[in-house]
Amino acid sequence: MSRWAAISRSGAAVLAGLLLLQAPALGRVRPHYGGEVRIESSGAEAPDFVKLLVTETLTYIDARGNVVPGLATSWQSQNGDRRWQFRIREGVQLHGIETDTPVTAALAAEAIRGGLSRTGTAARVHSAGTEVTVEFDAPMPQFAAQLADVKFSVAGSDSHGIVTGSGPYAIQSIAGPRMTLAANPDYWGGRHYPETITLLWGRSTREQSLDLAAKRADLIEVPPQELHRAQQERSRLSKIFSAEVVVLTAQRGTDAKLRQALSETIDRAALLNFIFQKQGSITGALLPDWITGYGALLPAVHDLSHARQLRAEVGGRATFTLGYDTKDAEMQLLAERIALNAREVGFTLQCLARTTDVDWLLLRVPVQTANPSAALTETAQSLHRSVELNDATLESVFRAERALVADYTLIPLLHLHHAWAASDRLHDWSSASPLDPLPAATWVDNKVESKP
Amino acid sequence: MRLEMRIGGQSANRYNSRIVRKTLLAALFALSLALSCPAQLPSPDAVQEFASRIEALTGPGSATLTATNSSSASVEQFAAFRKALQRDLQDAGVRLRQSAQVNSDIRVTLSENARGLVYLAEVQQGSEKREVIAEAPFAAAVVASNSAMTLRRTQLVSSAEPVLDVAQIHLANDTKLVLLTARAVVLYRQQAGKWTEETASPIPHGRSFPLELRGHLVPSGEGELDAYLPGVICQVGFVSGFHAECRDADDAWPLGAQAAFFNSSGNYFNGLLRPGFGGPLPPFFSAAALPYPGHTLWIFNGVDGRVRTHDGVRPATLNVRDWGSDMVAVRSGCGSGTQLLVTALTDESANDSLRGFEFVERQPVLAAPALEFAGPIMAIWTASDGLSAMAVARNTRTGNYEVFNVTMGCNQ
Repeated sequence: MSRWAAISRSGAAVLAGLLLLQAPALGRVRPHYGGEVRIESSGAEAPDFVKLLVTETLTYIDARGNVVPGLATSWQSQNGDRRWQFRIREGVQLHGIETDTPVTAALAAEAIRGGLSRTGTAARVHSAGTEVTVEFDAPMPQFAAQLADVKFSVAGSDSHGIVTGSGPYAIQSIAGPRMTLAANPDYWGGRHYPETITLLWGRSTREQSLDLAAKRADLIEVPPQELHRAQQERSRLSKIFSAEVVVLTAQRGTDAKLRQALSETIDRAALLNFIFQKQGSITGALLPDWITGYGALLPAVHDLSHARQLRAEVGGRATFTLGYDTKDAEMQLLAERIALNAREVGFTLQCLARTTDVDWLLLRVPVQTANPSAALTETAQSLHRSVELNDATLESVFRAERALVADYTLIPLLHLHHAWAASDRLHDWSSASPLDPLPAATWVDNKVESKP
Repeated sequence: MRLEMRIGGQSANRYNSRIVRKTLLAALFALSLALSCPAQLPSPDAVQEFASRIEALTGPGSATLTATNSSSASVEQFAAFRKALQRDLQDAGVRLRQSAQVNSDIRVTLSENARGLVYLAEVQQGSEKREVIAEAPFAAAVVASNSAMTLRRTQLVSSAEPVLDVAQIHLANDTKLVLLTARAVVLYRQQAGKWTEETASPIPHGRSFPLELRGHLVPSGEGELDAYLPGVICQVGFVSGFHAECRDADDAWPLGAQAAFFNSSGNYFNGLLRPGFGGPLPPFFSAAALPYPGHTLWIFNGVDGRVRTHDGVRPATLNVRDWGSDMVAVRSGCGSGTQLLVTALTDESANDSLRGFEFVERQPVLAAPALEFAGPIMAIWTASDGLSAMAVARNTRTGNYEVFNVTMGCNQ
């Protein structure tokens, strides 16, 4: 269990925010300080973007996927990307702790060790002066981008065991699934505009929607199956793009031809149209096209005659179990439709509401970064695969991704659109996206009506 | 948008005609860029490099070429790209044919991702298929100014880092451009008609800068400027070499005949003025002075959204509801002689605009319709000579900060 998950479950949970060092998308009315942003989410713990408002990482990924400085001001790699050196920003303090606790290279090294252990990556991490050195046995060209993930955040804890960081907000209180953050006036990147942020997690989509309509929330999630309705109702939406990939994963050894046949039987377009109201795209790639642009080279193939041919070549029995998350209604529908498709070419798929002890598993994997190399690494880790990159170029990422899907043990199906909806109180929100629902430039207009 | 074209080529011509054709195509390529809006294409060099990587796979034999547009590039831009690629492949020795009797099939897709355009090529030789992928960051969008408008703008430079203010400095035999950024005071010189960075002097500061950083350049003497930032003042000199000496200070920022104290942890003036009007004003984002016979009418754009005036005796509030936070006065010589340039109100649209107002009986009257910008105006100050304004707009497509000199034209 991750440290963050543990904190959340113990009720002492977490917090927040993504500091994008790219310049904010300010409007023409200059931002006002003060006010409260009320966020609601559905997960079992605070979303990562909120966590990164409290703790920070050594690097950040900007909206274009570029790696930019965070708590590290500069970095370099040597020895074919096996050795990485990071220079830590000086004069940054952890907030919420009575005594001054500076962010040191030693603290950053500890955060890196923690993140690496969670990904099962072996490395030697040293700190000296203001520098941290990380040495790998194999090339890690994506490491600087990978460090932007929340699992590498630099954090401490106060005397009550509450997480503290160096970010633009500090945890003020936690009570059950509600957390209040207060602006850090001394934030090294400049104080953020809203004075407080309250987060309520574990809210259903319907509850969130009602709270936004009743002016009790300022920022809510809009999952793919709700997007069409939100658009029809002219909700104020963030940028909409694919932030989740649905993947069919082989959990046990099967014949490669059978796997390919199964992939080619699946009518992805029907899955998208009927279950997700066309809010996304069909895919043969793990990463969405807006991140890579090379989706055309990994097309989704739906070819029943070829699938039948492959199935006939293998012969024998083709009965498998297909598992899905018991709490996910869309995944159940998806599994049942896939089973229906598979029957057309002689497969028998038994759909089971469980995620263990199955032949195939249907998974939703969130896309958490706009950087191609980091996105592929994190997606692969979520699917219990590892990625080997020669370098951080797009072509290298493509070759690594193609290698992941080439044997059909991972069958990408859909990229699903996500968005956030906001109240009229939020200004300079136009750059908001599923990955960054609360941009640093956003401010609150207290003159607009809100209700407690 | 998806557009597919199957094209075949002719054998390569003689070297000289190739150069002429290349020049013409490059001009066509550039023209298509200039005439079209945002869907920007990269430099011809990027296409040439892509072609040479394809040729490295195909060798100098014959090939078919199929090109598909999966990007936001317009039909014209895609056609220009296709022509440039065809030319560069032929120059590299690939003989493009339409027949099936070829060594290679090349399928090219013009795609894009969050960073820019992506060129994809699949090269099929027999049963073997290999790929080439190249990225080309978005080039700056070319947004044509509407020449019919009274307000006109000239782009001076485009910078990747935020620009807070800009000043032109006229030295003995030279004119320089000075950009104030969060990082440094940056000196530009003109070279072949373009402003290029010459040198920079860093700005050390003891305290953190606020999130929305503002700054102002003010002439302080012959060949000297003062750079004001929240909590920091730099003296910028040019006579004995370019240099900037900075110190932590909260001195008032000169705004014409008044000096206003800036909130060093925010993005606004706190309302204290020197010499002032006998008492503090509500905090404001921007101020401008319009000359009237016998007095000056000051206009303050308040943090509370209200626009107030003060003639030195009486304060008043203007009934305006669609003004942005920033405004400057420009001594154009048109109409009453001085106009107020005001940014737009909404923050919902990606684009911003400037409008020009005359003041008649102390009330604003629209004098120049909106001049559009391809992104929010992040900073605008009256130029050092008072005759024009220096505006910095962040291009929402490229993310670059584009510096414009904005003038008010008469006889429109």
